[in-house]
Amino acid sequence: MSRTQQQQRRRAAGLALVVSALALAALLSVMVGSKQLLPAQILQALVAPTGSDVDRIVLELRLPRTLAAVVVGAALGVSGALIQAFTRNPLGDPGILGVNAGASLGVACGIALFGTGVPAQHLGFAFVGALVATVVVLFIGAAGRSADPVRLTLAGVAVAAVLSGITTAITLLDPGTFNQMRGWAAGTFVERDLDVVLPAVPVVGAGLVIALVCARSLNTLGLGDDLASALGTHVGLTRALAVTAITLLAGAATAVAGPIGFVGLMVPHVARWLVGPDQRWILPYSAVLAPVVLLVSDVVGRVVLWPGEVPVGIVTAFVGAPVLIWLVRRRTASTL
Amino acid sequence: MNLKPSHRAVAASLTLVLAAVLSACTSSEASTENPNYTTEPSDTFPVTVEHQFGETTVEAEPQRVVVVGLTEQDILLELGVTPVATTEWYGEQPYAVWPWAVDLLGDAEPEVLSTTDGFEYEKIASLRPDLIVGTNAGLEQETYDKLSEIAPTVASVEGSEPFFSSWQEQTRVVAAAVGRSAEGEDLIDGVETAYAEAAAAHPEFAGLTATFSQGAAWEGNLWVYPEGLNTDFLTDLGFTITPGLEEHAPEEGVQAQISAENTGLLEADVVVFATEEPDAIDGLLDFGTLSTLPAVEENRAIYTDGELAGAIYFLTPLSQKHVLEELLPRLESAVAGEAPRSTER
Repeated sequence: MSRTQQQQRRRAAGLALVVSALALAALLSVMVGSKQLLPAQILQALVAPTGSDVDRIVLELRLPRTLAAVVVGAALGVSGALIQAFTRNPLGDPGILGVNAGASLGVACGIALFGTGVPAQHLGFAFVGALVATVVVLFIGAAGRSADPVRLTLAGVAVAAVLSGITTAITLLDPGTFNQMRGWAAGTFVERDLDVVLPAVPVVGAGLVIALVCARSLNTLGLGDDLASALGTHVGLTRALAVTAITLLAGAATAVAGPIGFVGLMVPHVARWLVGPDQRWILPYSAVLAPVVLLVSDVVGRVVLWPGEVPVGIVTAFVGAPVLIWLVRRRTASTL
Repeated sequence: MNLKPSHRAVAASLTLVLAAVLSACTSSEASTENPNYTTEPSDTFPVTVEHQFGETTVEAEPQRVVVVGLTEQDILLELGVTPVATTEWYGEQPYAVWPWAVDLLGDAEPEVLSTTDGFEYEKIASLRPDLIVGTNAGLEQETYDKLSEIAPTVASVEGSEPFFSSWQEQTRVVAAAVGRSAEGEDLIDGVETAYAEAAAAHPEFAGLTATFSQGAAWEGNLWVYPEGLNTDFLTDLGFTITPGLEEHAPEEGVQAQISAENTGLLEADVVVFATEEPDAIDGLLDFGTLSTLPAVEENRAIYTDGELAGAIYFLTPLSQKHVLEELLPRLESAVAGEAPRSTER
């Protein structure tokens, strides 16, 4: 057996391991919450629900919440990996193209102009905001030319700054919106019922498929535009696909849960550390690892300050900051 | 004004001198001519008021009372004293005076202070107060000292919480500072009698359990009031506060934080949700398993409007009478299982 084959088998086995970790984390998320339930109660709720309070807690609170963490996690992990590959910037974060800022502005407009109040109503506004922001960034950063990553990143940062300025202005002018936004901007899976999560599933699914399709081209793109072209990669198309996938994934994730920091930044690093620079492996690893991080963070958030719950976005920030410092201080940072 | 600290001190002391001169002028006139009063003092000035930072002597009947706390305007207005300034808590009511006190305010137009960035000392000084009332202002030694430099300041009594300490004690302090201590006692008696009479008229309330909850979840938790924390308006009517809630309070003296999975704990014979607008009901009931809480399903839950919620939170003698007026009919319907799923009664 050749060395590459061996490596492939190791990576496949590793992926299976990570998938079982995800299953375990999902189980944990259904088992552990701010209300203590016995395994027997949970089992009964799953197989023979009678509509009791316990059944509702398991079926209507914990299961949708777990699903939300998996969907949002996969979206954040893959969009983070894509953006780091696309911009060749190891500190790339899904927010860097202005997606989060656009989503936040969308939600702020929804609250201020249309009086939206619950997560299901925020969903559409957040997603439209994310889309509009990306289109504006593309328009500014790539007007008439192919999407040069540096120009796009700069345009993204600039647009994000303008958009968050507008959001801040809206929230400062209207204290009601400010209060609503504070709840949304923490990033949480509470009150993300199926009516919030399910509409996001096809969007995230499409984003994941596009991401996997362009994984191979992204590998060659990492060698530089000229070499990539010489190897037969269509540079412009690959970038367009990558940006589409990033917008779909990050937009949907932010629309569902609000902005959740660090996961999209941190997980692709871990994935690269595990499997090396091959996007065909980094993307699936990120898609599975990120939900594990989110599920565990969410479970921690449910119990760490009991009786109250801590929004998952705050937990990931607490976990993410030290991990980021560790990544920076490692002798050999995971290169792209 | 963007003054350097030294300039500010000069400006403040100049203002003080000016204030002293002006108040000396006005206090020589008959108080009946002062539009800020509708009643006469019953105590003889100077009066000395004891509070958590010591004693404050008020030399003559104060003519320019500035409220730096969140709710004391109610007490002053009911005693017949119109403050020259109030402080915004929430709700953005005109002059920070809520509907239940608007008649007493009449045509007066007090300045509204903000505490968003701490006390507005310069603005307070420019109002030339001769009494600063801060029994519900979260005063600390430092802020008290600064305010005292501007004018005699009264705070809440020894050992009290920073905000919303005993309304009886707050009423006594404020009433004494404006020389109307007997009238202050009357206010307290009035409220206590009104509750006792309402309880006597509704023997069916006795022994029933009740829960008082905020009207919307906040960052994943619903804040609910355990026994003793602004629950007198229910217990004085004979209700018992739902036991077990206090176990979900992070510390004593604060609201219980009920996460989505624990909303079943709210169940009681009557549940009062302090909703602030009709649209809030759906969002509230979406939280956790509230929509199938027996009290909600069986029409034993009350949803207040913004004004009633404010009156409950204000916790002044005046607001409590408003609570009684508005809440009693709602409680009667709820106990009968006929409470509407609406902020109307």
